[in-house]
Amino acid sequence: MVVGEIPDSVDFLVVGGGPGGYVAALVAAQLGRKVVVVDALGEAGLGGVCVNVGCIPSKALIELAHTHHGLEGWSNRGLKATGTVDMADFQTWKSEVVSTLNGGVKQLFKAAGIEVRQGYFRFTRKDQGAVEFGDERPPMHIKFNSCVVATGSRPATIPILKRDGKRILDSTDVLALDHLPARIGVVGGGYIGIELGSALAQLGAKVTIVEAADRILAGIPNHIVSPVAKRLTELGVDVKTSTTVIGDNGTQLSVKNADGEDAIDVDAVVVCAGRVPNTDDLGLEVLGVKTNDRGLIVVGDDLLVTPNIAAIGDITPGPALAHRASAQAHVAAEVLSGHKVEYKPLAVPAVVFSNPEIATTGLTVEEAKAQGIEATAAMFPIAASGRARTMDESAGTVQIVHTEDGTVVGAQMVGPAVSEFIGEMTLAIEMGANLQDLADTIHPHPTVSETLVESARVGMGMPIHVAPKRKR
Amino acid sequence: MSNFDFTLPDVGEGIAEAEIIEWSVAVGDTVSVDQVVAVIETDKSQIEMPIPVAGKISAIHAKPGDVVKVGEKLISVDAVGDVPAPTAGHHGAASTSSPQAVTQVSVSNSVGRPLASPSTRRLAASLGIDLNVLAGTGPHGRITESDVRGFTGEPQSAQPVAAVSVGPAGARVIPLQGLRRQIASSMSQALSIPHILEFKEIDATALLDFRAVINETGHKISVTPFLMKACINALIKHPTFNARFDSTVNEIHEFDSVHLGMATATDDGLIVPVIKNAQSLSIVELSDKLNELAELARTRKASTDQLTGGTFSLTNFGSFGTWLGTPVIRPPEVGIAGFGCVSEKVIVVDGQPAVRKILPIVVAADHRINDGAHLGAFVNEIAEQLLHPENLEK
Repeated sequence: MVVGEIPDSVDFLVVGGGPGGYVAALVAAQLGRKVVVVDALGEAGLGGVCVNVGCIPSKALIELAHTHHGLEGWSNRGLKATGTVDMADFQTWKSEVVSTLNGGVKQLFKAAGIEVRQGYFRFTRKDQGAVEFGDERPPMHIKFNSCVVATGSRPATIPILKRDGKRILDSTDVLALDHLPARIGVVGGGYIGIELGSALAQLGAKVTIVEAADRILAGIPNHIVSPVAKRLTELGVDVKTSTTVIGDNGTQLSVKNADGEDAIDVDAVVVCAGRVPNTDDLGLEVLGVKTNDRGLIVVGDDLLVTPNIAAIGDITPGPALAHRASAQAHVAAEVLSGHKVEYKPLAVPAVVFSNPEIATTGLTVEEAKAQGIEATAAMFPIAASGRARTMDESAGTVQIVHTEDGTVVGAQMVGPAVSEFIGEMTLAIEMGANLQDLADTIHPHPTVSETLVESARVGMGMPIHVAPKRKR
Repeated sequence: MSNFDFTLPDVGEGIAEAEIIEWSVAVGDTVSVDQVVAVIETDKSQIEMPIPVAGKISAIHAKPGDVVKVGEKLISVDAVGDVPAPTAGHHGAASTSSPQAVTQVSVSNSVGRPLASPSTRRLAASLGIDLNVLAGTGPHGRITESDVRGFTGEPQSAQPVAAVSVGPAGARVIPLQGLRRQIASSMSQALSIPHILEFKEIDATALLDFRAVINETGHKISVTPFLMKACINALIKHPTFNARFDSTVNEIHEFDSVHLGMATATDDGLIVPVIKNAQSLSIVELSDKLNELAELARTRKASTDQLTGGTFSLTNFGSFGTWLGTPVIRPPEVGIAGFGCVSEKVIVVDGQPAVRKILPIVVAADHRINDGAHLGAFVNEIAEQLLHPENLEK
């Protein structure tokens, strides 16, 4: 062994302090393990992309945009007010929100006796790794009994749109803007592009969304996406589908589609081309582990990579969502502590904070069919919800995907506040509930969640607040 | 070339699963017929697992430490030549009247999977139970926690399963693996047997004198083979104890032959080798057989055949230096005898105090099969045999 390579012994090592890593650390500590977390940003990284530059700040921006835009509508409904957006003030408030949440994790760590070290971790042996600091200091070597790898993901880049943080921005840059560019091109019509595009348009920017596929929000049923597409048009957003970006000259974004080439005048370009797993510099080769063609680490129900190393979150195949990483974190910490548990959810919910919101869980009708399950969708219109009307929203649909005997296997919704009750449908699927169970569960009035009962009754052929289909 | 999925064969009676200890092949390796591909650990022994086809390994479906159920895929092979039916048992373990503990209930609901809540599925995973084999008793056929607990015979408890994690901090966490896991599983099953126990103290003075006489001829026989012989003779007279019980079909199988299980402590845990047709062996032969099997058990070299098929078992608490214990029946057997430590005691003989060598014995019986009266008669028969050792081989 080389001098200076004497490793520091750690019982339970967690690499990455995001929603996967910090939860794994807290669970492991609860199970009596002595935990050390290594994060590239140290304590400042606790909460990960989600808390610091992802979910939380983007929801703050969307809330600002929604409130600002809402004022205009309210002027006809009894509120005479106009709003001016001050991005600098917004950034101050957003930073407070982020630092409160980041500080919350720090306090939980302190209470649980979890140590945080800053640096970049790379495996050097099956039970060891080196932490590099990115400067002159020699690496620190760590020997571990158990390890959870939760290094997460970063925004994907497009070579012809090289990020400069001024004109060419990634999603992280947008959330830190101290001013609002007047004309913005958003490259990518996935959920990040649609969320940011809607918000920027509501704040008053002229937004163009460029998507290579023939539709936005691929993977979500068309009729669920359509109220969002319609709303984007109402907001003046130009959505160019089946269109690719071919360059940017500093003032114009050049695009190409079947109609030919076009140049769009924009003051900023936001690249939302998906996310890339942070697995390239982990030293996985010393573990004998190879990533798949998308750079992901394939794991089984026990999430193990080796008998004492687990991988969770965005670096594993599946939706790159914070709550999936956290759910896996529980399993990984328990498995590595000798408990026999499995990560085998029946449904992983997902939310797009578009306008209106989209929320999905479980299977669509098509996905069910692909699995050999005969299923249909029972739909109820948001327009028939009293509560939605008081929110001045009438666009949207709540649909429950169920089998012939009524067992619930999925749900897709578009409408106001649907993000708040998609969890209920996830519970229904996990519990094996059927339409009658939902119909017999009293929901509070007036709430948008009542539409679940109505959808269930549609599926049973006995709806109350829409006319039943006429029997032939 | 055709794809062949090599599944875990039925390696012996009542064995529903096995733990992978190690693979001796890797994906991409070429294998020949009967080449050993893995070492697996079943109920009580480690077995080298040969593959019935030749070809190239295309996938390995389990990791060392995984518990695989009979019928589950172990290896996929791009096979050359004849390919046997995928479910064909290949391992040559002798197996008679194997009781089928698990009744496969095919899931026939609309979603093609068992309906059970996350907490129930978590419980099943922790107990290694496949929900596909359970029939749910909850609403709409949902599998409940009690369905899962009922399947293992584990008692219902209001305590949350995770209560183990609430102890003092800094616990040493030791995964339950290998033989220990097998013992845990079979002892949990044994808990579903309603045990009845009866005890007796026997004057073993004559027995020990008799043994001394035999050993003067050059043998080195311990007391145990004499106790075995007494039990065997009693079992022949009371065949309701020389039996196996299949509670899933409510059938008792009584036997004329005695396959006697001998509880043997090893470094890894308890192993019970079985002396087949013990009724046909003399005391000297029983002694030899006992020594041979005990050595195989201690070195973990006993075959599945040598570890299964028992009709009754015997355990010797005396070797631990304790007075006596309460033995646990090994399902599907219905009885087990235990012997304690011989010690000198003052007892009344012909109205006078006398120092005699006293042997405490206990027999545990499955109360579903035998009552206290039957058990008393059986225990008395063993005592009677031991009081007249000169008649043991008559």
